[in-house]
Amino acid sequence: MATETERRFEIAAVGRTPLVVAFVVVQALAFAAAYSVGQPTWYAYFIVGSTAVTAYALDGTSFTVATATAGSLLMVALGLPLFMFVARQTPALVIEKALDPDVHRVLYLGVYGPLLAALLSLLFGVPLAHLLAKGFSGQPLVESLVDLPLVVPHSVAGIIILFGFGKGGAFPQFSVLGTMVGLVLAMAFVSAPYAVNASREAFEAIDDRLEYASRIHGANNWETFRRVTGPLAVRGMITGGVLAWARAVSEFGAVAVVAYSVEFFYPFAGGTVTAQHAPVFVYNTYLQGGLEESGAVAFLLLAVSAVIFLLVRYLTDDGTAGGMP
Amino acid sequence: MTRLTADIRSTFTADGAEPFTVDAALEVESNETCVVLGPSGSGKTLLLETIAGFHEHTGVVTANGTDITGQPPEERGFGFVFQDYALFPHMTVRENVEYGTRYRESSRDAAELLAELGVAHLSERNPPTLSGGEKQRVALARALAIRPSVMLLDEPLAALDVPTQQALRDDLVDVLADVTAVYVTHNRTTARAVADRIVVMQDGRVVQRGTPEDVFERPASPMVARFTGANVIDLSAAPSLRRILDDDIGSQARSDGSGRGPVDRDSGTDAADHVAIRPEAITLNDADGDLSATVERVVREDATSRVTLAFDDVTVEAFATSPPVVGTEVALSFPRDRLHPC
Amino acid sequence: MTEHRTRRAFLASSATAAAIGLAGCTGDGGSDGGGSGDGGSDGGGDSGTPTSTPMSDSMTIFHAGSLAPPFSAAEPQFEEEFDVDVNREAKGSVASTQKITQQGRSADVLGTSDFRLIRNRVLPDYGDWYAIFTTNSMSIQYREDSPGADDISADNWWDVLSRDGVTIGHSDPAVDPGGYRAVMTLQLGAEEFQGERLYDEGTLDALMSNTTVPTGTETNLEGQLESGELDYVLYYQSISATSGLPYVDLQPEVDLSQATSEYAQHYAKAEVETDSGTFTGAPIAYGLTVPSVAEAPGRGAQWIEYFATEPGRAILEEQGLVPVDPIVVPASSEDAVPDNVMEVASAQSSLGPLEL
Repeated sequence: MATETERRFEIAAVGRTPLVVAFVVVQALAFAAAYSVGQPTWYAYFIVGSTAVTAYALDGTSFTVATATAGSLLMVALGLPLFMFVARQTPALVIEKALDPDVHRVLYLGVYGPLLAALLSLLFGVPLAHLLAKGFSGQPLVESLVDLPLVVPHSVAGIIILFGFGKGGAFPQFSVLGTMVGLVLAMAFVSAPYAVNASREAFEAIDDRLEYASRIHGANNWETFRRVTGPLAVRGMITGGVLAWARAVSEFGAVAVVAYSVEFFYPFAGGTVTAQHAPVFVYNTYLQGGLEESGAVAFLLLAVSAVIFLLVRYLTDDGTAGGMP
Repeated sequence: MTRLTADIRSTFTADGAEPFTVDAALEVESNETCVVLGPSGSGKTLLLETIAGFHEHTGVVTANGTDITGQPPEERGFGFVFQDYALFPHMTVRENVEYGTRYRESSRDAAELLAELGVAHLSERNPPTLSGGEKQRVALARALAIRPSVMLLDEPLAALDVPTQQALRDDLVDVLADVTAVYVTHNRTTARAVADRIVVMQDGRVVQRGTPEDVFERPASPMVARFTGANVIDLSAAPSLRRILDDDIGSQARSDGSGRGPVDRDSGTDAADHVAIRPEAITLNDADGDLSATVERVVREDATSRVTLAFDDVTVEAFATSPPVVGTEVALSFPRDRLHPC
Repeated sequence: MTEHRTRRAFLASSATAAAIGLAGCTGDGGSDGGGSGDGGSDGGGDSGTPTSTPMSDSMTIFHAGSLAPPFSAAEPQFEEEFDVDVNREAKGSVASTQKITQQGRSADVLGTSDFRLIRNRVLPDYGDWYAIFTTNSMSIQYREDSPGADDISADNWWDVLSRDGVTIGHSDPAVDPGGYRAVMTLQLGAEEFQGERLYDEGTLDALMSNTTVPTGTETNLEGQLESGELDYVLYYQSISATSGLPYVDLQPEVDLSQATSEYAQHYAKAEVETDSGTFTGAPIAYGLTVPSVAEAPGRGAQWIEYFATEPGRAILEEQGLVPVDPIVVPASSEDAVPDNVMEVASAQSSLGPLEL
């Protein structure tokens, strides 16, 4: 069936980037049109339809059209609420919030706290991931323990941390309630599984022989990890770190119990200030001020997070973008 | 300049597989190349990796008389060439070759080694972009760069095409001449080419050890014989041959009174039901010979033809430069000194 | 020719999909766009007349966390007696209110720990009347091994709590009535009542410096207390009395429990400033209403009547609350009150200094 592989447009002639830009612009225009008419549902149909058509035009096989269409359905579920959220923001309010120093503090903490938690998760999670990739007896127990935070309800996680650490728990000299330490602990608890599992997959993908080759030619375990295993698993570790960071940014329940307000060092003020973790702050803004105000702050948080994601992906991308056009 | 001995006894359990026991011993003199020959699954790779220190085992490994059984791999000073190269993909060729040199007091210059092996021009390339033969040469250079006391090679030619195999094999013969080596393979041509001694393994055990001539000419069992490419003739199914050999013994006894010959009664045709003889030892004639056989198949191989011949209830293979026609009768001659009970 | 067939088939299927889409769209296009179109007003959704079935067989209740114990205790009996399925959502008082005023959701009953939330935020757009049905009081909860637990009593609690190193926790005044009430309790101890006060400004300062705000709602305070991170917690007696931990029953002049004029005037001396406004001290009066957006308003009225009468009152008392007898509705909205509720209520125009 030669017709299935026939290209409707010559990609080489037009180039990829302009096509992508054109597609995005068309989507934006379609959404704006549908939204202003008050019929966002039309846009949902448009996404699915336009994706199917584009897939057919660029590739032509029924398989590609089907997978692209299925994928676009998921994009509707994820994208439509987000687009509509963005659309209902009033620019004046967003700018007002963007200039508010309280909001700056909250955004700073909302990025910085999770960063510490992600680094902590990686610092201790990568060695664990390496061990898990190697294998040891009783491994299923450890694996289950690592995965457990994923299913614990968030406020329960907060209570667990309070009882486990701090005054009533393992380290009575230290208080975790309302402290930076408590905040990072709560975040690390919920996000460590991502760091560990992503790193572990990266280690498992490395051929055993490479380790043998390194050892036999003179490198001990430390050197082998430093020169061979580590560098080859770095991409997976970064993915794990980004996932852990993202998970910590969005954490509400556990943080609200352990570190509702946190005192931390804020470089722009040159001293310690108190602020709440972003999701907690957004919710409190909602309780006090309503959907409008909290929506504006949430929008800023989303924007900052999106920028950070793009930045990390851009910096760590190895340029292998093959596959579909 | 290292004499290596290994006496390995160990049971390996891969995930979900049956436990596999290796119980084998070998000795390699200084600068000798010992080939471990055997079919897939015979345990030869496990043996090699255990000698390198990658697996636990009960048993002893010594180098120049020193017990190194407890030493971790990085302290043994061995070089290893893997079947699938195991080059570090994130380093250049040069960095790969120089990998182990920082851990040694004396090592070889990477550029020189690469030049010797004909791959100097690849020095700044990355392994994934190289061909199989190029990769294996780099792997060889990496192992040689650390001036290893022993070279361990695990079927280094197996993944290569025939011309590349031949070229690399020649280089290997040169390279391995100056270093103690253990070379694992299932390929008898390679074994013959590089070996000073051969150890044949089957199911985790050694079934024969000796010089290449010992193993190829005088295989210890039908399995070894078949694996080295010799004909195995079941005498109970080849009465004509048995009659000829019995007559021989009789006349031998009469002529020199010794009653012994290469194939004789005590260690010979009565006790062993099988005899082995290499294909190249059998000669085809039109008329004169020990017995006559029918040509069943003729297969062209490079410069010669491999001929399958049938007589009595057995088939044998022989070589002929001018191959006979299928279906015709030819006369076969079996030099008695090339016949060996197994 | 297969090329044409593939193309034709594709066009046909996409046309069908588009047709189905448009057909579906005209059906649900109306109500979808509601929330997004007009962003400005704090009303948000459309408050048009929903299809109300006064006596449907299911009902929804939004209520404050501290009402959860009595409401969940009453639920099975109520469901059986009135043959209705009750769905409760317990959140904070403010959050429950905002579900109706901000998110456009509907409930048949709204219960808050401060009737003023209903008076100020729900009326007149989302409701016409309310009832004050129970009061609570503030108390101090602690662990048996809290510092000073051996000494503490109703006569010296301010001394114990003002000691160095003691941590007193209460919820966030900005988002939870329980939070600002806790601060008021402390403030009132330094105000004279009938010529006497419990302690001076110095002690008040020491007390305030020992307080911390570790959470937005009182639901987390108990766990934080038990974990050892807090030594004492200031929240409602309905929670203290039923938690199993020791507590202090405070003096009426500080515990905000008395709904009389004299006490109400005294309570009004306390003032707490927060990001969401300034709150004046008042008796803890819980409010109930049937919002105008209710889908089963008849059921809502039944629920309120239940708590204005014997079985409901008994349950309130069991859970450490102090029911108001009879329940009080504002005189100005007497006409809007459903008949069955009015029968067990009394209309008043004020509660002490508080306007209804």
